[in-house]
Amino acid sequence: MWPWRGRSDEDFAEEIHSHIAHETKRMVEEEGLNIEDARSRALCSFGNITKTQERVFERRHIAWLQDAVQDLRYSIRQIRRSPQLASAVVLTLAIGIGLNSVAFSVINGIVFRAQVSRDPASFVRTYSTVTGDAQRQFHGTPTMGTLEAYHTFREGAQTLSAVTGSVWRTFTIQDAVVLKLRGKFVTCNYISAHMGPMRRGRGFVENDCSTEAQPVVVLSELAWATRFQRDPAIVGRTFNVNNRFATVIGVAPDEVVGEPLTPLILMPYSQGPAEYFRDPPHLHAWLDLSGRLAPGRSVDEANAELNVMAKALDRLHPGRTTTILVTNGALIAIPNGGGTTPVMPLVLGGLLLVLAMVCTNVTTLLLARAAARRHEMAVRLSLGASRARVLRQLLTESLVLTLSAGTVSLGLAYYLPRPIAQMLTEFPIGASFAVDWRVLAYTGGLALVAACAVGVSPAFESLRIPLTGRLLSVARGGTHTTTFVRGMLIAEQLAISLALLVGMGLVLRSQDQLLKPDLPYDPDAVLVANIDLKSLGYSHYNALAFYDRLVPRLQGLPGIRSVAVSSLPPFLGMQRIVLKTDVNGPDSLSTHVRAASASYFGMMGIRLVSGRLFSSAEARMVRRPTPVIVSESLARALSLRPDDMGRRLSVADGSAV
Amino acid sequence: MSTRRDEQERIALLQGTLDLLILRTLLFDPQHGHGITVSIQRQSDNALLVDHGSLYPALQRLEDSGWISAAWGVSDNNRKARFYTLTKAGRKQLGAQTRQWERLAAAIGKILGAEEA
Repeated sequence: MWPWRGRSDEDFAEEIHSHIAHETKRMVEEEGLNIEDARSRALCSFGNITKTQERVFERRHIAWLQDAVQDLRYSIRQIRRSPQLASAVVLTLAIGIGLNSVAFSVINGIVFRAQVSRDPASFVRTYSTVTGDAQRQFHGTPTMGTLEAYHTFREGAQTLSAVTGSVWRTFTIQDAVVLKLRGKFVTCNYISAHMGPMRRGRGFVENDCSTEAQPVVVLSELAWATRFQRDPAIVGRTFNVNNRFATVIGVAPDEVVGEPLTPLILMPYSQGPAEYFRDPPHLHAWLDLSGRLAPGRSVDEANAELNVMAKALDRLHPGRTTTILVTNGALIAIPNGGGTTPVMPLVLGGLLLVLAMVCTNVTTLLLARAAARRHEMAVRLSLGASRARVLRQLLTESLVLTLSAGTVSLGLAYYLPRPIAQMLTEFPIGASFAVDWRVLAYTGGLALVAACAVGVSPAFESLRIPLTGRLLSVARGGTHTTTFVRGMLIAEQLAISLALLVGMGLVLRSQDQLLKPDLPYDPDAVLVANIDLKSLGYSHYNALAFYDRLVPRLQGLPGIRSVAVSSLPPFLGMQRIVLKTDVNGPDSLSTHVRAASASYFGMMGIRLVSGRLFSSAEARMVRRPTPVIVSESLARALSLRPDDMGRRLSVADGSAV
Repeated sequence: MSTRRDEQERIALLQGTLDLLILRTLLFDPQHGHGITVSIQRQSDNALLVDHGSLYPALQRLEDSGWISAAWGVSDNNRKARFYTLTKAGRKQLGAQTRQWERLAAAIGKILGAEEA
């Protein structure tokens, strides 16, 4: 019945071959012929072998195909007969399947696919995992690479045709107004390795990355269009960028290089923080290292080679162990999917529940029709159609309905993901959410499952007819089982709705708790202002003077109870330092640090367990040792006792408690 | 198109008899295609000549219906051959078809006998 079931042509040919051989032997033995004659007689008597073969196979294939075509035609006729019902079903299913396709398409674009505009096949991204290096300072994610790794890979790697480094930063541009743009410090081969032709001007050349070079920047087309109104004279203009005068040398196309977001501004990495270049190159991990595969090389080969090179580097720094992971740039290729793995089943699972509910609704609709069609089914069965055949026909019908809904869903998955993903972030998304084979397979799979879910019980319902020739009684509507199935469906619908409501309630509640955490202060009464004096060119002393004048003025404003200054806003950002103490035995651990004024404690509701707050004199003085206040948990971790107060902790540069 | 129709009619004509004969031949022993042919010819004293072009499609049809099952084995004269075995459903089918055939034969016999008389 099915074309893929049963035997192959070869198997059948072998059987015929065996038949001829037996017949030949029989003729030799019983009729005394020689082998050649017997063989040709046997072949003759068998007749046309190919034709027999065709009859065996064609009969099966053609019959199956004919049936399928017939079923399809019949389904379309049925759907035409009740267009309102069909369109209601298709629309409802399209919403259910469409929701899932769109969500999957967004996840597919962000997690499963490497977002690379140019030649994605050769793109690679590296992730370093380092242990046993207490000196190493991480700036950004812990998997970033150092300048040492960058230079070594760039010079030594045979499997890569280019190794590039980049890091996201916020750039402050002072023109007529102050602009903040999200952009990247990049190595000077970044544009040539990853991006297409420049829209205006030129990209970076190696000279731009020398330390003596004049600062230059490249703007993205989007920044040029939205922030500079497509100024035709943009190339050659000079702005104050991060407190340095930098000349715009070009406008780059809006392309993505391994991440969904496009940087608005690019600057040579040599303009990055000076200490990164002053300190030994293995100290600061601050660059995302990417690259391009050399022709004919694979990601695995690059992975193997870079790990060997990393091992060689480790020998220069005893105790350090580095593991490099080279991926094609897709998040799914790194362990835990870059933190997305636990989220995916939650999102997709919830939406699958919605689809289940939609299917239940549609099933109820189709059940109503199934009851109406029992008469028709009774006639067809009485005329000799087998139940299996009619069942197939009914299932074909629901398949046609769900596949139409699937097609509509693909349309949604084509148009919607981009605006939806853009809603999640204010930064421009350059990622492409094209419908690829994964989205097709997911949608197709859902449509098939939905077809079974909505088709099976109505189909059986239509066929639940006693064939003892009582057509009339059948025409008279529902039986006991119909009401039972319907009751089940309603219960199912209620259960799913309840589960969805509970899930929704939990999400809302956790969001509520995120917005109103259980804090020792009233978050609604605290205002936070982010003042970036460093990028505006203030020196340390100027900045202190600025705050000295700003704080009293703010305190003088009506309605202001207290003013505090801290290096990082509450709950946001973190800066890590390595602490060493010999108070109670040598100990070292890395911890978060934040510079703050004395009033910060009162405002944030932080109690002092023992000791005292900073005095105002200490705040103004820049002397060593710097006083610090440690948290209770840190004191426990360092096994400090109350009488240790006043003793020294060696904090990065030496300070006291 | 017309040849296909002819063919289908021929199959229909043969179906009742050839299928029945094949099932009967397999009643006691598994047998391969050639063996079935020889067996039918011998038992009918060569009155029935099995058309090979119909035998194998018929075997396939019976296999698809689940009345016989097939497996490769080695024949008496040490050759590889595909052996067909009667299944439980096939045994039932053989009984039903035999009774049907007997009724048909008797009915036709009555008519023909009445005409002769």
